[in-house]
Amino acid sequence: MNSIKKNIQDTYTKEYLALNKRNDGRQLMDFRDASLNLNTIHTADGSAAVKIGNTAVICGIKAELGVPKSETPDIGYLLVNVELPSLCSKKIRPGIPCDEAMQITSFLNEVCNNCKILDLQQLCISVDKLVWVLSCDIYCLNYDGSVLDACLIALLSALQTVKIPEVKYDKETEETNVIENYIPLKINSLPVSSTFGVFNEKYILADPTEEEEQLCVSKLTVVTNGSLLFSLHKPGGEFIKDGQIQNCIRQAQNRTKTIHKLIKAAQ
Amino acid sequence: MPTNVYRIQGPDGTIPYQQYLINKSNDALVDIATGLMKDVRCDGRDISTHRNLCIKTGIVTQAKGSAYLECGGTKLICSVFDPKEVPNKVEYAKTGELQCEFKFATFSCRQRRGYTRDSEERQLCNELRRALEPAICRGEFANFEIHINVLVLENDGSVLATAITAAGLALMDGCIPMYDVIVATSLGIYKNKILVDPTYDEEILCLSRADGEENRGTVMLAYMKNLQQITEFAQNGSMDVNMFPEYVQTLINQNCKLYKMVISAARKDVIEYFENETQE
Repeated sequence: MNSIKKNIQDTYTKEYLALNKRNDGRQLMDFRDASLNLNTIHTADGSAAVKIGNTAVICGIKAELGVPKSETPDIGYLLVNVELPSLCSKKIRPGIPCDEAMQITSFLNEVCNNCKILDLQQLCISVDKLVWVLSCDIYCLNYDGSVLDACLIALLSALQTVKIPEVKYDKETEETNVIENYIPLKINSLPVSSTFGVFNEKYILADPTEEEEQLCVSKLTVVTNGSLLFSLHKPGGEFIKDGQIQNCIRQAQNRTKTIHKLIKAAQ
Repeated sequence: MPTNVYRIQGPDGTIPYQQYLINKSNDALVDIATGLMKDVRCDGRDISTHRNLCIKTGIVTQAKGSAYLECGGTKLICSVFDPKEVPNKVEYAKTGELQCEFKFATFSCRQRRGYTRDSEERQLCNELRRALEPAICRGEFANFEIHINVLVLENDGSVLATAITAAGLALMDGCIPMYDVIVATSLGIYKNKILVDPTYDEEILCLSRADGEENRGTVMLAYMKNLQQITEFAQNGSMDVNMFPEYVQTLINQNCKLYKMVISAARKDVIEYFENETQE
């Protein structure tokens, strides 16, 4: 079976897609099971590990004190970076971050700004002098498709676990005192992203694996929190119809509900 | 400050808030030191017991072989890829090459780490490569290279020893021909006390500057049990020469215990593999 698969990958895939079946036994619009683990890293101030099928990512957040930007003196920093280390896939070479890592990084930062996940004013300690800098680093441990979905879940659940201590700052003496009274962050909304792979105009696959991503001509990403749509992204590739996009949004909303349940259950 | 165009960066000169709680962490170190004098360790272990291990192989499905190893608080993941040709190489090499990558996740230590490889990571990477080279049948894949990647998720002491054991497991999982199973343990020496598998705090204590002629430091030894060969030995700090045989003996005994655990994990994998095979 494996040699057939390798030689005529495309025809083979088309044949089973016509039967509404996928390589791993799922139907076309089925998502893989997700699992979530909170507070896995004790050296970080907040952390979460997410697994979707075989895809695994881990997010750790470090809180530090820094000086705010002069144009926005009363808000803190939320810095999201995605790392795809060479350990997670054979395609990625060690060294500078690959294009895909940077793409996911900028997408996540955009989503964070659009959805106002966090009220950045709560990170302010003293205006123009001292604010919190939250560095959120997401490492992909196993690259098996739909990494962006996993990254967003990991980021949000890790942010919910962050507890920052109370800080007293004296403006005149510039003295900083940290009091060990830890306060959790307030999260405003919980956007969830769902990725769909567009195989051709006929077949759209939910939550594609790495193998399917290779075969698909383009991807469609929907970010929603159940009621509001935050981002819908389909960069080029094969054309699709209006109805198909509507269907994808509906599926994404269902997916959002399951993920919200998962996040609630983990706490 | 060089700007990093590849990542989103915050302001320069951020301070971890733990800096303001430094008195507390110093007190904690003093507590550990007084505890050690009474043979009591901070996590309630005996002075010569290894921390509990959690071994899982084959967790990175995209790699040829992989292993996740948890040793107390130290958590790391290692993956190994197929031997492949060395790009842009003209000369013929009789033995295969090892390419190692050793990375700390930015949140893995108390202080936040940078994205680029620092000198500590480079040194650990080199030590890892040298420890593994004698264990792998490099003649089997002449002119090729193997990539070994280690990512430390949480650092709670004895990182290098744990990394070597994990890499040995990942190589086994990836079916790379090896002469023997390779395991490693580290020791912390503090005022004639021999601490097996020190934690991060204990390592700091052992590497702090000694006043007078006290024995202080860390020792790490990588060992192949069946061949009875030492592949890597690393010692830091200052210690009495006459104590050396005792340290090596303790390390070898510990490695023999570790070997049994690693072998039983490997055996379980083989049994699982054949069970799946017969089901299909």
